[in-house]
Amino acid sequence: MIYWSLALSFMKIGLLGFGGGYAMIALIQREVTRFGISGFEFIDILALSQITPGPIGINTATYAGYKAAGTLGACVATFSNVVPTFILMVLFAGLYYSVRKNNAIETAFKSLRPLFIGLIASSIIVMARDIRIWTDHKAMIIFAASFLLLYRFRVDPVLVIILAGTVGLVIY
Amino acid sequence: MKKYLDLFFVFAKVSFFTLGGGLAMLPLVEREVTQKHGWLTREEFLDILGISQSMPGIMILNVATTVGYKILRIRGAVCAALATILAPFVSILTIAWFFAGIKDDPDVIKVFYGIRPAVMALVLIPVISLSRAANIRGPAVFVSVAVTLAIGVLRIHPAYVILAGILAAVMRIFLQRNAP
Repeated sequence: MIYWSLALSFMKIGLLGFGGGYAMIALIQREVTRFGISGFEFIDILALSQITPGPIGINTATYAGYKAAGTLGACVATFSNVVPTFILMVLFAGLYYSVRKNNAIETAFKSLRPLFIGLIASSIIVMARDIRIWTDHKAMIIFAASFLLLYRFRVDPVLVIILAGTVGLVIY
Repeated sequence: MKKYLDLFFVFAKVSFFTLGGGLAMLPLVEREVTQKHGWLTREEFLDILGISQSMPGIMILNVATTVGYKILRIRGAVCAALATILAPFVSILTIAWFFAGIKDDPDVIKVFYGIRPAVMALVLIPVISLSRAANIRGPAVFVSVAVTLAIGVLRIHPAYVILAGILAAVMRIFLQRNAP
């Protein structure tokens, strides 16, 4: 049943999604392929989640759930994504004073940072494959220009997306 | 009751008015919670932030849950978490309804052809900033590259890579503890 597999997938994403929203992308990217969401569509979802309020994790869960099984699917995906971690946090909220001085967790987290970076980088590779960027010179130019705007000139991401969309409309 | 409403309103507001993910919301949450409402001290907030970042899931939601729990126990946690979800859920659902009707329009298709490479660039930014902040060098570079290739090229499921990473981190702690 679609709702059950949505719930399972998004619980998995919620429980294994360490290292922040960007690191979570790789996991979501892979899991949503189960629900007939193409690589193209996933990137579109990411774009929309950047220009709408809220964390990437919730935005992508809601959208993917909707794509897979309508409004009820959106509810199931969002809640499954959120509930397991919510329970963990409530359990931890009572304990966290004892955890706080424990630098084992901090050490563990520090040693995982290269992993998080690799996770984020891998999602870019998957996107590049999905849109076959090497066959599309226009896309390569937009990629390079967007990077320059974001990195060198610190232009707001929302503005960069709007700009890239406008350029797309004109040159494609 | 007023406290529940305040709590709900703070997280709903922060979630609604910040674009581009959880990190952008943090300063706002901190100001509301520690200064404007004075529910927690700055020190307490930083503790909550620390634990929220080392737990899985959506960081800002972990912050909301813990702040809510600290102030009003389980009901507070539910209240703050629901408030955080509300705006993104409603706005994405609205867009999804709307988008379903226009996604086959030739102009919309062109717009998204332009947007997709920009999204790639957007995701590249945290790769660079995190590598710098964490001062990644030596064997750590190898780990990052190996993870990138394992998922991106060999198409190994990220879940296995994450589980392997956690296992390695736990083992490392044990080895360090037992070292002479």
